[in-house]
Amino acid sequence: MSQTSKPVGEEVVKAASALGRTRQIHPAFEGTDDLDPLTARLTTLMRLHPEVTPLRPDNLSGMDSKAKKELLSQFEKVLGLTSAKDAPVIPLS
Amino acid sequence: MPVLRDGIILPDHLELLERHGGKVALGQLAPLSRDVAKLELKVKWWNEVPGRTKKDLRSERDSTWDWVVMLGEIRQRGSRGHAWGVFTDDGKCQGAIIYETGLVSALDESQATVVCWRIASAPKNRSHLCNGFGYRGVGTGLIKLACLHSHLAGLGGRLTLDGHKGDRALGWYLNLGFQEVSNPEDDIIELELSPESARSLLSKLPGVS
Repeated sequence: MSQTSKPVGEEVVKAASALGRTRQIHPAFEGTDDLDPLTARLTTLMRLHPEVTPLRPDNLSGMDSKAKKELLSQFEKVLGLTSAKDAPVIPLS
Repeated sequence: MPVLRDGIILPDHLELLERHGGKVALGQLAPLSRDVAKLELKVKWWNEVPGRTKKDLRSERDSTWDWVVMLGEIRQRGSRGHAWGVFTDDGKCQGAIIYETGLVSALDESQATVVCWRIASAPKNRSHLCNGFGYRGVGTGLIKLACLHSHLAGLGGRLTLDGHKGDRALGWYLNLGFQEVSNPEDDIIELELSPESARSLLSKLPGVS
């Protein structure tokens, strides 16, 4: 007696997103999921703001944690990305 | 204070205004948990509006939102997905937001933005449902949070969301500085906060220039 099987994919129904319509990931964020969080953040900042440093994301693999933190500080300073640690409350007005 | 895995530090409180008495109160910002989504946002929110039954509240667009499912979905977006609640001293969730960083801007496709997928204040905070109770400033505070996150992530404060034609919220978004960008579906209007408008919205936050 032969077994019957359904063609692959027949029962796969693509679920609609509960969040809403599909939106495109910006290229600066592509491929960063597998990186550690600091490297991922620096990679996106370097792609979005190449004017801040002559270094490129490829250079990050040769940098230690201290050098990466210094590079992040450079981005924060140039782009004015003030940390909220000095402003822990969002004011009403 | 919420320190994200990528080192971004977000504020841990936002100021709210008590409708009854007019005092300024602090709401604590914390990650939105599955339990809060399931028990408060889906159930308690709709049972705690004085003088209103669940049936009365069916016309509110978010009365059918399934926050548990949406929370599950945003968590699948990895480090780009974020969900926050704002909690008062009595432990009650006064509002919630779900947003995602690193998507393509609607105003300028070469730029990245934060997309606000969902935002809501507890129904008892809505003046058209329940005047004289609850808190003001919940929604604006959560928009500022997402806008600030966009700024700190290097996205210029850009914030994008979908509004619905005829909704009260549409005028509120425009007053906050959002501009209409497109009309992707019949009843949907896509809105975005530009870097210039974001700077204006965040101008009262120390250090944001």
